[in-house]
Amino acid sequence: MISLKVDSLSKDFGGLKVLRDVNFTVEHGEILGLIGPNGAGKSTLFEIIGGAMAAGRGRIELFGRDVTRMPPHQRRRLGLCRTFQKIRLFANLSVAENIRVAANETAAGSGADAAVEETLALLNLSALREAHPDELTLAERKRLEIARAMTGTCRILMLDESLSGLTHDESEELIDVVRRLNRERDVTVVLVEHVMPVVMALAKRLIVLHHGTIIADGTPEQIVENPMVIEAYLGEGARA
Amino acid sequence: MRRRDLLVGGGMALAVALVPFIPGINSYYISVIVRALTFIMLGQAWNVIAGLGGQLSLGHGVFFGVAAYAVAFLFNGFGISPWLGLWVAMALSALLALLIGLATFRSRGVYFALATVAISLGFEKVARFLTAYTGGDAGLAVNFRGTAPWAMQFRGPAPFLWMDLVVVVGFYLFTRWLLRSRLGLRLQAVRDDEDAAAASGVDVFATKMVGFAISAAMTGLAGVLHVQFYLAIDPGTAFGLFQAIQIQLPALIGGLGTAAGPILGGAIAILLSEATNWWATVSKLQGADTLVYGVVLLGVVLFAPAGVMGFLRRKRATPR
Amino acid sequence: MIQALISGLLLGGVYGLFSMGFSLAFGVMRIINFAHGAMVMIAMYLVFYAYTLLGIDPLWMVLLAPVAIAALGSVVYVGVYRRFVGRTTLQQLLAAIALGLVLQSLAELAFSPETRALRNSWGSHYILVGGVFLSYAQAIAFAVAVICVALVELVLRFTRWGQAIRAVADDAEAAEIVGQNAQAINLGAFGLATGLAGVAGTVLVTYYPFNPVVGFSLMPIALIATVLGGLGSVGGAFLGGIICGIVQQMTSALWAPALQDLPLYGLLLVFLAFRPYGLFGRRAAH
Repeated sequence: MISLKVDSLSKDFGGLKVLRDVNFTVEHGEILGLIGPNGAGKSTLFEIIGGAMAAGRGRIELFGRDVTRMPPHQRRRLGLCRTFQKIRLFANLSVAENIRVAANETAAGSGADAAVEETLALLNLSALREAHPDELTLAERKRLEIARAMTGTCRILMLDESLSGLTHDESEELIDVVRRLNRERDVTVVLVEHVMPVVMALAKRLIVLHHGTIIADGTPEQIVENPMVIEAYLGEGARA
Repeated sequence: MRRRDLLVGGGMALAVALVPFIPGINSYYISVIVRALTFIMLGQAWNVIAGLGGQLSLGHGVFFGVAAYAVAFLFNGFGISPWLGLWVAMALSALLALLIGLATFRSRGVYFALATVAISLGFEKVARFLTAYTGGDAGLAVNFRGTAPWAMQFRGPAPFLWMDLVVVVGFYLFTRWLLRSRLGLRLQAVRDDEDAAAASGVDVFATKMVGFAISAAMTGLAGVLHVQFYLAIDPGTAFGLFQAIQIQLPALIGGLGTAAGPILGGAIAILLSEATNWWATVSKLQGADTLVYGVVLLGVVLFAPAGVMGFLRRKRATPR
Repeated sequence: MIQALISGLLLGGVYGLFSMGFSLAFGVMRIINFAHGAMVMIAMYLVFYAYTLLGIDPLWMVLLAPVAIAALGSVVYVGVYRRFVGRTTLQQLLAAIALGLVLQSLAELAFSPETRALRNSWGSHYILVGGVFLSYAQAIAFAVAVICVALVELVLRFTRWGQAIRAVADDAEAAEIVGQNAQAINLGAFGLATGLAGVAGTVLVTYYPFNPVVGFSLMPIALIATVLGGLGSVGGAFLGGIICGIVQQMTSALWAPALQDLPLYGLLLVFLAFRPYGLFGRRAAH
């Protein structure tokens, strides 16, 4: 079953072509990594799928439904969940309230309370429920953002560099959470990452974006050996 | 609700309600309290959209004015009791808010702020021009019927004190409820980060619209009570910039986005207003009152953005 | 009809002049300076007293008043606006309104609230051109406005300083990395913006009656002109101002003088709803 389909998507900003004819599908239950050098168009693609930015040409389908013109909050209610590259939390709300905002909209009726509790436990945030975002560490803020993204109805989780910038242990812990979501709850995962070990540890399939087009699509093993990718990306990434 | 809050709040409300029974009290003091309560009410109303929703409505006087004119016009022209007219007035205010929101809530926040300023000044011009309906520059006087409860008219100020007090307490309880409610959480999420709110499933546009309409209707109710108390309304009082600023002061001084803030701030603002009125009269200096308002507003914005409540909270938090 | 068109154009030029400064401050620093009108008002008093007390012709003040107002603007920038640069917040808008109130009430205290008019040797002269009355003062004001627009556009486009201002307007962070001192550039840009208010006040006072409240009463026009031209666009604000002037005078002639501003508010709402980025602006992509 296809969860997400991106169909000949193009986008330009005043003549600058950021995405050109991007096509791919994501199967239900997959963990897909979206990689590419800086300025490849990953973020733009991410924003368009999430609905925060309008598509130029082309279509986006979610669970077989055309959502190209659907506003972001409706996509979230369908189960398309996301984080932000630069963490964005509700600064004046507590940890529990941050999660509750999303739970209210996506968990049916009185299910919101239960969803908040479950999410707090799953992401190991129960002890911090009354804390405010400015009192959290970076790892805790990332966990909270993922918690807010996946609470209630979540069928596709799109993570925008949510696993980078952390210590080894912190990142292991989050990788484990994402894996569990995928296994135990059937959540399809799309990762945008530039930390290669994280992507390699999680993703079963990688799509490489370069200058707005997909230059490779395959298993991590295939990607590593793809000469185009090595030239476009790994040459630069290997240094980092 | 915590027991302590209930005791303090209930006690304060009761004390205010009993003021008219103080033997030999000058009705001037009762009138000052009525003005203070109106101040607080307006602050509470503005707080809903600006404090909780983070939307910079700078021309909120327009809802106050539209409701005041509507209720006066309905009474003078058609003999419709203000008890009925107030619903029409509140609905009109809310409707106007929805129209403004429809035009501006889809673009960046700054456009909304500009539109509210421009619209309120536009209404002032229209009110001055449509002399037949609004009385032009001089304004509209509500036909006086003596003490006539059906017309929401009383010779003394005490009944207004009680009515206003009921509304202020009601608004306070409403705000407390709103802060915890689904809608309130949506408003606060939108205030803190619109994109993140949308990504969490919150319909940002609808949330702003509902919050703005509620805030406008509350402001409208304050406008109705104001016009019934003074039995007159004029374009400057209704739509002027000064009015818009007065609406903002209580919540700003007290603390934006809190339930108790506008009450504290309103009490401080009325003392300020009385003092400046007195000073302006004694010194015969034109502009002295607005100068004080400007300086206080500037001071609060620059040096105490969280208001008195922010100060209290910090004090409570540090010694722990 | 043609008379209304011409006087609208002339008046609109001056509207455009003070809207430009307002738009510039927003474009570069995301600051909505509600006190912009109050600065125009102060320039008017300055020129008025320079003429009545010292006998300095208003035309000379075109050079002096902007410097004085720009100095005032710099003080205001450092004291108030500096902390708000980059993001339009509720606090910034309120600070601007408060500032406008303070300037206005200070003017009331210093100059009394009464309305005055400057009567100089040429302010009330008219010339008849092809059946149309042209006010001498209005024609001069328009000419000054056009020269200012041209100068500002040239400065922004072709001087290093102007290019720096535009770079900061586009991306303050990037400009900082490249080595531009954003704070100094902002200060300069704000000086320029308020200087334009000074020029506007100088030419306006030659034919426009004024009082301390005139500053705030000019602000709706500035807002509307700026939205029409695209918030942040300097040339757009000038053209927006001209449109405002023409619409206003035509309404006044064809309908009723008291309602001359009404179509402008309608225009504003239509633009906010359907073209918030203005006539010439592009939808911002981030």
